[in-house]
Amino acid sequence: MSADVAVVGAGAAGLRAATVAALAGLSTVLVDSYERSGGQYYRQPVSTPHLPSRTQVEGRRLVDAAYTAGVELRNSTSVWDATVSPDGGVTLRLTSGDRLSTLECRALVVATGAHERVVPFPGWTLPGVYTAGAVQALHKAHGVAVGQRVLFAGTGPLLLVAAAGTRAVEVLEASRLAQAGARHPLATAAGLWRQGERLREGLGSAWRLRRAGTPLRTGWGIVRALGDDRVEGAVVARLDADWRPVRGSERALVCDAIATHYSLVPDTDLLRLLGAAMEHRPELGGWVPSRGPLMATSVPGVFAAGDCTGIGGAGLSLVEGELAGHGAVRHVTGREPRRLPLTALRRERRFQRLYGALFTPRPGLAVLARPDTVVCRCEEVTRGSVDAAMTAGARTVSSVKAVTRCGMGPCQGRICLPAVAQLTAAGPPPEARAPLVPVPFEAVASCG
Amino acid sequence: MTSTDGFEIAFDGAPIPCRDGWTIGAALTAAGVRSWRTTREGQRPRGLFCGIGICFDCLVTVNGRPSLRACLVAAAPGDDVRTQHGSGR
Repeated sequence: MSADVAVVGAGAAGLRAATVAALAGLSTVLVDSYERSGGQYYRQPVSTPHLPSRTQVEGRRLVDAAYTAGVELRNSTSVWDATVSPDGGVTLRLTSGDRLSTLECRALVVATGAHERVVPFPGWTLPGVYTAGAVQALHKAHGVAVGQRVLFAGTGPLLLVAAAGTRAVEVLEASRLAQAGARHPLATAAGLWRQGERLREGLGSAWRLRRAGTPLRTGWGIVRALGDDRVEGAVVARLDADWRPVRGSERALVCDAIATHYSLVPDTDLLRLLGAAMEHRPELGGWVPSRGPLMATSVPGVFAAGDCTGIGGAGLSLVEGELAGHGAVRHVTGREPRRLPLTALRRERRFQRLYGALFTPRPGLAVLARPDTVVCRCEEVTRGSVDAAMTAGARTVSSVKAVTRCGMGPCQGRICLPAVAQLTAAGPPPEARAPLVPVPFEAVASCG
Repeated sequence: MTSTDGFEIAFDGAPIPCRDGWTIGAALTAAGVRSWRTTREGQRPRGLFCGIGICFDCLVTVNGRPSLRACLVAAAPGDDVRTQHGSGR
């Protein structure tokens, strides 16, 4: 099948981009790997709750707007391969369960979002250690608690939001938020300008923790998880300015689950597969696509918007999605956009800069993994193997991957490679290869 | 039976209560099960980790099909869920 515009990712950026393209009269297909649209922030519930949350209501509005505009939504569908055609379009190869299909488009908007960054520490592979997002999803979508005493440790607003409302024993935020804010009062004020909703959410979470008697400590972090076959406790410590545990400050605590999360990593594998030029921007979450006006990447006809281009949250994603939608329309029709949300873009960029200043992981976290700590969960590659490969001459993420198989399992390095990148010298971004997601072999064979 | 009554699935032969809209991972977690896979090399226990389908750590065998992500697969009445050893093949 074919469409004028294809959009990958039905979160804030993708929904908005697809709506703009469809309203311009272009045939638009929006592909998303989840059953429910909305992305991680605006995800729509399976059954209608009696009292939908603010994000669910806002998300409903975004999804409805896309439907009304005529966007064709294809959920439970993932892109496993993509190629740029000689005539300028893009061919996407899709998988939905066991079914494979092909989608040709004249312009593509990549809005694949981000996933959580997890920093390996001894014991992080024990059952009972989760990402903060997993704990939040189980709690919000299913009403299921992962434990009676849950330790939250890492960095980023999601940590606080996920902890509020669960049975948190302590919340350890690595960043010293108050000091950082006091050191840069102007940037802090500018970043929070007209971000009332976000402030309310953050302060509301802090208030709920306080009321529940859960300590929130900034400048603290997890050192290791304790237990043989499941989590039974943890060792935590004060962190120095580089987020290295301060010797002598360690203490053990009892917990039955650990939720961890060190901000987010942009999901760029589709962009890298298409050959888009990338740049390394730690304050944006790592490797991100270089972009021109209207969110155009270096590949003609390919646009990128939202968290996959640098962590900025739902507000920035909506604005970027709108711009990318106009970019795709201009690419297909030659029509210049009339009005662009540039004031909102400037406001959200200020918030993005503040977010990066507060929540970018610091290099001291790299000391947590010991030689016998598994770094790559899929292939069970230890920190010792990675260090040995580097001693033997592997300098970049790609060469460590080739020597150790680290990052070659089914998660495609999404979990481990951001951590490996902290250890290796700067180099080109790791190569993305098809299939981006596991594809049933029989299905590939049958499609020829 | 109304939708709030829920239903049962089986984990390694034992009954596990389940509600409409739950994933296999949610049902196992709610029942206190923390691991349902052992790794290929170290035979270490693993269960839910990222919860959104990207880490592939929560692989499980459901109705004879190995390597399904427990965090994504919706539970259905009578599902036969089994611990997966290695690649499960």
